[in-house]
Amino acid sequence: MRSSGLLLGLPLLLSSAWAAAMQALDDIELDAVNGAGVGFFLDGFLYDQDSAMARIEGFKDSSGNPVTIQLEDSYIKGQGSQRGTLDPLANIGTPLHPFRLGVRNASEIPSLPAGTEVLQLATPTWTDPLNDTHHYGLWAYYQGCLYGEAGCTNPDLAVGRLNSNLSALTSRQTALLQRYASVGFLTLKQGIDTDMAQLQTRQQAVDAATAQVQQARSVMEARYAAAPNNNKPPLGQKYDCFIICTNSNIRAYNDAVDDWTAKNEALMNAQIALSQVWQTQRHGYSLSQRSQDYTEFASLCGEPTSQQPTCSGGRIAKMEGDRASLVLVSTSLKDGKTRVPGIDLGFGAEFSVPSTAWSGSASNATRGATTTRADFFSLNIEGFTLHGSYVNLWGNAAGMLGELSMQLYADKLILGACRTCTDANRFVAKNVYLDLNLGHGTLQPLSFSMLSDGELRFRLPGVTWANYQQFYAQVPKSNISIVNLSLSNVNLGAQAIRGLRVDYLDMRTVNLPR
Amino acid sequence: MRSPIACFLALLAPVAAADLQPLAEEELQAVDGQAGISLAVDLHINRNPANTRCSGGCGARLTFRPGQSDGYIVLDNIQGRFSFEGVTVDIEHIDSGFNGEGAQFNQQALKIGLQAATFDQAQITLAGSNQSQPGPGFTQTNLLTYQTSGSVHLQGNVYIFGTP
Amino acid sequence: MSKSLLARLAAPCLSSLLALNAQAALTEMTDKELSDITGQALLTLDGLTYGGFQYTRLNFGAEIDVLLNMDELRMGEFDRSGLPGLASNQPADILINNFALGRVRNNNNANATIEPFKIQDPYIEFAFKVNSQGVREIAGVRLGFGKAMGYLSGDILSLTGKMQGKIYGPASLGKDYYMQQNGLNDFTCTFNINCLALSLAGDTEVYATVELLQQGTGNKILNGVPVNRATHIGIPAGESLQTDATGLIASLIPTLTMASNCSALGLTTCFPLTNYKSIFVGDPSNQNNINLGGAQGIFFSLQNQNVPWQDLANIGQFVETQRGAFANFAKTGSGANTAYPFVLTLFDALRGTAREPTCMGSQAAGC
Repeated sequence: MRSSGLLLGLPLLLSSAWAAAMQALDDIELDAVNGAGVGFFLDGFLYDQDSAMARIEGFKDSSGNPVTIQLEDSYIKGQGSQRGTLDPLANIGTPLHPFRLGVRNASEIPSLPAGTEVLQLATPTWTDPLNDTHHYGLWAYYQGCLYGEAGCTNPDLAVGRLNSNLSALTSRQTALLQRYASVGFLTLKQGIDTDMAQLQTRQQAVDAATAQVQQARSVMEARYAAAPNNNKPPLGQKYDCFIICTNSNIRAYNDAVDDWTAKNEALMNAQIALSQVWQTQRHGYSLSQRSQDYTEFASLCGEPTSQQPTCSGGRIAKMEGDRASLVLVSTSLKDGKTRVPGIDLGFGAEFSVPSTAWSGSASNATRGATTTRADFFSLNIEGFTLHGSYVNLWGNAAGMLGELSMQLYADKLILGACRTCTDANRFVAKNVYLDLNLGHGTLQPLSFSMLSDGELRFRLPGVTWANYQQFYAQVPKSNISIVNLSLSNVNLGAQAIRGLRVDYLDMRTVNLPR
Repeated sequence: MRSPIACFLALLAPVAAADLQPLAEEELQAVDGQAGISLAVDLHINRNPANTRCSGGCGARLTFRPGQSDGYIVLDNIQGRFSFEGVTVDIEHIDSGFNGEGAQFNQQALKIGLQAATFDQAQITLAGSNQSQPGPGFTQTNLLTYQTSGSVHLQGNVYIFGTP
Repeated sequence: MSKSLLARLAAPCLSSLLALNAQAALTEMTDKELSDITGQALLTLDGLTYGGFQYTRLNFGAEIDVLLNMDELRMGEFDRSGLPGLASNQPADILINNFALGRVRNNNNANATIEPFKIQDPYIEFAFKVNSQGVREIAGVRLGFGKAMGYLSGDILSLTGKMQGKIYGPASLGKDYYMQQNGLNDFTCTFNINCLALSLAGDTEVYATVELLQQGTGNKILNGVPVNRATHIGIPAGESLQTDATGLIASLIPTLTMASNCSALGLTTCFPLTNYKSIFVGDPSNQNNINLGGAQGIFFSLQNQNVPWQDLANIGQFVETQRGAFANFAKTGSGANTAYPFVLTLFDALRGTAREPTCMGSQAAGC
């Protein structure tokens, strides 16, 4: 979510001549041109808002009061602009590494269904490890600091950290292998499956008994309500009649209590039986321990295919693959190679927001008056690159389909709330990498449509029983990481989401307030 | 060189709804003896006061329909003055420069030179609606309106070329 | 000089201009009185101030059904040595492996179906504060859900924040568990003080709120601040099982079951968070309707001090946090209307909850 504001400003700020060429996507008669597409790049580019006024209106708060945002100081310049104060020029793409807009087909893109043609917009792509965002972003994540800053001039820190993470995982793997060395993992799995089948049965019995208890309780509550109030016991306890209860409501209630108590007893027995299955011993370990160990091993090394499995998949294999990438990057850096400069962009804004004043204790605050607050907010991004990103679009009766890969990397992302202050007062995120992959042409195309009520709908079809093996092997995962976050000079360290995959999504926008 | 540009002009002239300033056009001698051109584009879109859907009248409207969705993405109420003075258009044969890439590229490209852009009370509204044109049963939900006035500093060159 | 390149590009330019013209011309010709714009669109911005902080919140109107898996969620990985409240030696404030939202039913056969996690109206909020030098700083940021419902799974290695669940069941469940753990039967139980006390409680329904605490001591507050990097959850020291029942035995239950050093009446009252591999967020008795059963007030935040975030589940309340990362899965409401982010039977609490499968195929996780 933090990085999602990055590209918002770009379409509005770039020239209208360019925008006109982009708008008529449906109308481009590409058959008429020689070749399948168009390449473009920007050379010596600079945008600076200067003294122009720019304002965004139309937003409201939850009570319908208007919010206005006055943009100031927006800019897109070359890297090293010192947050827009200097004027280095930006080169976005080069002759040999341009943006590409064109038609591609399934023979060029393996994830597409056969026979599909897509419109692809691709950002400049480099294959060397420093400029390929996949490689550099991964290295930056492990490096743990912004390269070039004090204490971060050794590019091998990344490999070092990966090695120590990896050794923690491999020692878990070794421990698990040793634990079940005399058993074998396939045997282990068989035992777990057998016990799980028993577990299912007992779980169903618990579910049935729970339903019975709930029903008995409702009957008891109803009869309790109908029962007389003199000497009324608490709910769940019986009326104490001397020999026999003469009042029929009391008798009915007492019967209901007996029934509820009996059903509770039955539920308890079912729960005990269920617990016992979890304690089922094989090879000296309970089912809960065995099942936990097996799942942990599978996530470390991939699903075992032999009694003494090797690590052919899972997190360990992935990390070893990552190591190769890290070494490529650090070797390039040690050879003195540098990255293609990125761009700096940003803006300042004054938000006019209706603000309600609350006061009092945190458990019981009182609401005060609503006044309009004028807040300053700034966003600056240093050293931004988007190399290797693309979006493939095609359509069908339902709407637009697509698959996209966003490879966004920034050296620094800074949010500020003050006009004259230093980074010690700001939100400073370093090594921000958004590696977002959504959609897969054949297995999970991202669909985007506008509904008739003006709402947007995004969908990613779910994994199915028929395709799950292919799905998990081919649909790519995403990563979002901030290697170092400092909030007004307080170090909050690293934040990361690693290995994210959306296996199903149905998202519909809704007007607010509901 | 003139005929595509004349095409531009021919299209813009007969539009009655939008009140356009005539385009100024100069011919320039560009590099390498090729005839480049310089454009001054001054687009002035007036509100149409007879259309009461927007307060004070509506400006121009563009709609996009993703695939065959039921709804449209709308750029609505586009109005004001959008001016680009001194935009240059040229064909350049790139065979040098660009950190050595020019020699390997060795191709022609269309080069659009950007210059300052000026806006005067320009605005545009982003919205979603269920029809491309207002008609019976029309609803539209506005997300935001962007307004700008003044000159922004724009510089640089956009190079465009065909790719196989 | 090549005309073809220019012509190539003039074609799209011309077409787009045509499109622009066409719309402009048509607008002029329609001359009806039309219904005006309806709705406020999907984004609203709210502002408030409290306790010296200023807040700006961006609400995003959406209904989201999702099944997602991630290998790792890590927040607040920084050195906490010397800072108060540290409950373990975990490297990060929030560290969850194999984190998933949603689940798969019948995961290992052809009837496999996805049961998604539902989210309504996510939001992002910033907190600002003017520091002692008069400079306005960013103090915190949070990402939250207006309402959420569904299964949340993971191997929770470290958690900082508020995770409150309700455990309930007849007191006799506790007795049976105790007997099982200690190899007692109904006869030998009568000679064991704790077992006898538990059997006296009979079938009285008991419940307790479980919270994040430190392993071993059961403390939920350390050095004056709530624990951070907790690895365990349970009945905090000094608190006990409660009952709504009345009567002599019922009144003894709180005393009999007061937790101390992670034990009450010989029962373990602190459980590793890794035992709870899946929790159902929301009210299970209303699980088909997020509007009735959705848990409110769930958020993840990062702040550099105790920023009191507005509790969207309980208007008028603010959730106090601490420096670092924070996850809020707190109970909302009070008394009979209390809604817990998760509810477990005493049995599930004692033995842990297995992970609901979040992958199709034989693996429950890690796909």
